[in-house]
Amino acid sequence: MSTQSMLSSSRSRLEEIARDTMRNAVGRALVELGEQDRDMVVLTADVARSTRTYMFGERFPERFVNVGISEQDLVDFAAGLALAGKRPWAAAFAMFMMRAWEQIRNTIDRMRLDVKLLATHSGFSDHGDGASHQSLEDIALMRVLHNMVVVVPADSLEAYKAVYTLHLEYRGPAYLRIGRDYSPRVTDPDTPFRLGRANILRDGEDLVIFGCGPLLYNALKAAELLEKEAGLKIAVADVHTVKPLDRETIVRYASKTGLVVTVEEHYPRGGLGGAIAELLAEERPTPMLLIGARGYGHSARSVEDLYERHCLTAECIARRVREFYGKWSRR
Amino acid sequence: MRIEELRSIASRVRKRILRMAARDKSVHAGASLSVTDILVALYFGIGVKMDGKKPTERDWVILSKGHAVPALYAVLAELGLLREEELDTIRDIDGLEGHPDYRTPGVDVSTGSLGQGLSIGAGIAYAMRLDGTEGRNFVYVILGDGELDEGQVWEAATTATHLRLKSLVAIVDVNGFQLDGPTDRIKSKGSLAARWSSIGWHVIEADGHSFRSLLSALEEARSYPGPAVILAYTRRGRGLGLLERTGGQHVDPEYAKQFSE
Repeated sequence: MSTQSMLSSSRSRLEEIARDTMRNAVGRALVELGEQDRDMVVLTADVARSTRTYMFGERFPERFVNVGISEQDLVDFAAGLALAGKRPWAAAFAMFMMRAWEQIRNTIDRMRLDVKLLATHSGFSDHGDGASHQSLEDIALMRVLHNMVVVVPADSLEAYKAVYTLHLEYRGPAYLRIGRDYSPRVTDPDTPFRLGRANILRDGEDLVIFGCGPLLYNALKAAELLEKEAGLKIAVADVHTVKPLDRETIVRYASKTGLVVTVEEHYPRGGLGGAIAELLAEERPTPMLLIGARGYGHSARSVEDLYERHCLTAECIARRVREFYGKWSRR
Repeated sequence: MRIEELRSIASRVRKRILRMAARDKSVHAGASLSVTDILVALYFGIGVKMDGKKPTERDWVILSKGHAVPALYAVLAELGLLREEELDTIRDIDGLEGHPDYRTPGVDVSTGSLGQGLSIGAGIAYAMRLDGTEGRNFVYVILGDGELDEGQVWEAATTATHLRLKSLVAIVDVNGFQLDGPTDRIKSKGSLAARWSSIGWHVIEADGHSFRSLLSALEEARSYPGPAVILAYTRRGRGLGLLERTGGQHVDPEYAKQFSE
């Protein structure tokens, strides 16, 4: 059965997934895939509850390994399983997966092993735990790896589809970056998910916003605000696959609008903003505004509070986009 | 295979290592010579099943101390997987890699960055359990004593005993040296036997240059119903007087040349 047909088999299930949290959506997808693929193994490093991989562990205890608080071991244990013909998913907080970057680089990426790294609690999503748990550098570290595929879903539904697609349609190393719970809905059950293909969430010709992750919701709201306040027609694209980039769509929209903004829950340096800047510098030099985290995070009662502090609310994004538009627009 | 035959294989393996050392002065001759008898005992005394219908229906050898790869190449040449002339290409731009690379015939896993082999081996051993070949096929992970400084080794060691991985055999080439000097001067290792056994490993101590000792240790490790480690006490540079006396790692190519034929 194709991924697409499997995903569209039950619309009511997808609607339910869309209302659930990101990590629950991913936990459910793993269990469903485990039912059909007996070579699938899920691993975690003492975060079975937090990453929702315990759901897989309860259903398939023999194909679930908790290595304890040892992320380096987690990554290389997964590499061993892949070498031996298994199809492992290794789950940890994005922050602590970074601890095993060298293992990912030297063992998984260099041998191009079929290991899926599930990095949860990324960006500001772990708002309460503070800066030590909020990963703002992981996209940069993963996208620099030669063979790694990097996927950053916008919402629960997209995260769910990403798990299916990465497992069923791709063999090789991949990094799936998800948040914890905060994931306002921006996609529909019918929204296609194809690796390396960006989705246009909103069309426009004055400026384009390329984004990834849950901040796309605020990017869309900012685009609406700017249309209402200033009559600007702004396109918003969901670049869920940060590597390999959808070069065609990005260059086409940069050419069409002449102004590019990127939005991400990560430092723009080295993140999606950096990736698109590298591409456009070669293919289509275009004025750019790179929006993202402005420094380390800290504990907060909600993700929204952190967005406010880092000027990532819809209003703040709209204000910055408008200034940028005023500076560069030829109109 | 008789002990005398293993000795003559080991002697050919050592000559090949020096042949490679004669090609490139950066080759890690000392560590290759210390691990030689371990590899010969494993590949020719016990036997390594290098192919299987499934990757879990064969044995795996992970040279976690990847800098000793000349010894592995020399063994692979003995097995006919590498041609003798190929050994001269070590570290050439299109030749054999300076550290194990999985694209080289007979090399199971790419290593070179220390401390990772035991985790990889544990993963393979767990896959054998899932496929029902645990205890029938084995994963041999060869580490250095200096390598035990890496924290990840102990992450993997505890995972292995927690899971009681029967197919996992660790062999530590205890040659007493690491890159910057004698291990006790750089970073004391404490009691290796106590460290491993306190986590639950079955510890077997062996003379790393005696085939009788190595073979019985390997047999014991394979039959133990859980992870077993062989502490093989060796001498760095074994077989080359100059290196054995100094514990050195590298050798002058001109000097190596006279022993390689």
